[in-house]
Amino acid sequence: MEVRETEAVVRFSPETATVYFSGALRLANVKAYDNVAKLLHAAAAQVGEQPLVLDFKELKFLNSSGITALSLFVVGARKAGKPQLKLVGSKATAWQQKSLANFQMLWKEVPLVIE
Amino acid sequence: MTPIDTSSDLQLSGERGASQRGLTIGGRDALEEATEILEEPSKNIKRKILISINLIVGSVVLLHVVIQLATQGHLPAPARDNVVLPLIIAVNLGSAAYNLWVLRGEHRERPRLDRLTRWVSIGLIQLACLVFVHLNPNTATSVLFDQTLSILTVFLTGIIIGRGAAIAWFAVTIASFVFAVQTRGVEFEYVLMTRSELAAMHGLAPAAAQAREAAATAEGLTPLPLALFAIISLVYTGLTLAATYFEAGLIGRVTAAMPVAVQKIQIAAREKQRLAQENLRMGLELDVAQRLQAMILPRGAELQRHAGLEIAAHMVPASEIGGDIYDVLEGPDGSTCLVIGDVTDHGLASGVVMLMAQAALRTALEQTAGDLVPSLVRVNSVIYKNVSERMGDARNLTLALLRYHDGEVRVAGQHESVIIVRVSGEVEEIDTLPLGINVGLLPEVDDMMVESRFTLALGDLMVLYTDGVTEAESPAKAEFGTGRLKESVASRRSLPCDEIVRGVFADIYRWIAGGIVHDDITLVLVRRTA
Repeated sequence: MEVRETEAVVRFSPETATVYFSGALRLANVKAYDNVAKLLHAAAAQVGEQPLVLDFKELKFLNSSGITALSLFVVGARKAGKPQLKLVGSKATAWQQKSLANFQMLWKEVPLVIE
Repeated sequence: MTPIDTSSDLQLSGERGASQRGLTIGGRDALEEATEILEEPSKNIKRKILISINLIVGSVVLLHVVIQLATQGHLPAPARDNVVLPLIIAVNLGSAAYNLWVLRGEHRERPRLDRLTRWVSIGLIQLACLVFVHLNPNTATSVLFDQTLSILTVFLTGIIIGRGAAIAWFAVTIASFVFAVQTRGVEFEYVLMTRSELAAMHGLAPAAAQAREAAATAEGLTPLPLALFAIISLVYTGLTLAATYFEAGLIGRVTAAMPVAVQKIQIAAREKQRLAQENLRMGLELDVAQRLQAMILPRGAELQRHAGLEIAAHMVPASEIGGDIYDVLEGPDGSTCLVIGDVTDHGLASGVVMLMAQAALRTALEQTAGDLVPSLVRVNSVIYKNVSERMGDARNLTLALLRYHDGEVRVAGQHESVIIVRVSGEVEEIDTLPLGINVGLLPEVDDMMVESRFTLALGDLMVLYTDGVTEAESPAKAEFGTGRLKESVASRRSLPCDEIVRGVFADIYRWIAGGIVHDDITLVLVRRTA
């Protein structure tokens, strides 16, 4: 499963139960993130009881609309109680230090790994 | 905008760019399409005519060679024909092959080869015209019959090469004709034999008949068989038909293409008009949004009313407003409440969310007697219900509230950091990231908003800003950043607040060096004076 945007690719790998984000996501508004949201929901349905990993290491940029869209997904998962989420970020990318902590604030039990 | 967004403005202007290309229908410009439709019928006409002429000439000469070789075993004048005739065949069939190739779209056309094949094909026919008229053993029939190919060639030259070439050939052919007539002699008369004269001639003794033929030949009147004229006439007729066949269809096809082309042009015109209206509407909307945002910002005099504080603030809205919010309100017991925030996304809706947030915030601060966390929770509830539930929009905002009283500052809510420039020049940065979450993102945020405190000594400066400041981009796409902001303020710390604000903005403008202001830029400077 894969979503391709102008500057970014979001790909779900069922083998590793991981959604890989790469490139730069600068879509115009939250609505424009519908395809990414659909992929996340489909991935969530597929992993079932396993934790779903969101890997942002290769994502250089995510705008506020993207953060909102991802936040809504995290909040939805918290409400439903599944899937378990795990966030993986990179120390090298400035936005991740700040914003990934924000996702964790939405759901405190979500483990955050900054590599 | 939340801390990391610099791009939405770019994205939106990108979208507007797409609608400016609104002339495109299915990815192509309607006007371009109209032009193509009108050009299409005439586009390959020259090529088709040239191919048919090449094929006729080439195959006729080839046939001639084959027949001669089959019946005579050699060509009529081997020294000349063994070279000239294969050359004519090669040129014509080569030209036909190249042009067919291009016509079928299997080969890209090459202007040089196009010109070469046209000129050489027509040139050979012109040469043949002159040869037929002037080297014909019968000078009487050359004026009467062979000249018709010259006449036909005026037409062919005009179609294949152009008007100028046709006129030039017209001049040549007239000169050639005059010369041929003079060669024959103007006094020459075509006298037709009566039946009895013909019978008398056929009745001549072989010797007398031979003498007569020799005399005729000597005078350039070699007898020629009618079959030869019939064949040549057929070739000429074929050439004329070939040229006319494609040319005659042209007018009909252009006429048929007209309504479709006109329709395309009308679509283009309508699109252009719609686009102009859309631009006007968007211009008005942005104008309204900017005015709404500016309307609710605190007036200059209001900033001066706060005991013990010197406050200066300035906001520069982006062309498509980014929904920055700042406010300075009087709190209970002589305290001062400062507000700084940034709505996600851009445009009129962001401006409207900013207005709602300001109104809700003012009400909340008054109702809670300036209690920061409950105020944030209330504002969150209002924005979530109005924006997410009612407007069906995912906009939300970073929002930090600060309350100053007697040298102590309480702060709650998540936004950019708060920068403190101590009177000594020492710079501190207070992270608001752990103090909350975007307002309007979640229905309930009770457990997420946190209050923190710090002190402000006499002469200390406090800097509130939005990401428009730190993410202002240089032409090399480098961000202004908090480092430069701290330096810009610290180096001016002895100046009045309004001069510091002006100075920092001057630094930012120097940094972006005439580039685009992607996002609203807001800066609030506060100094403890008592």
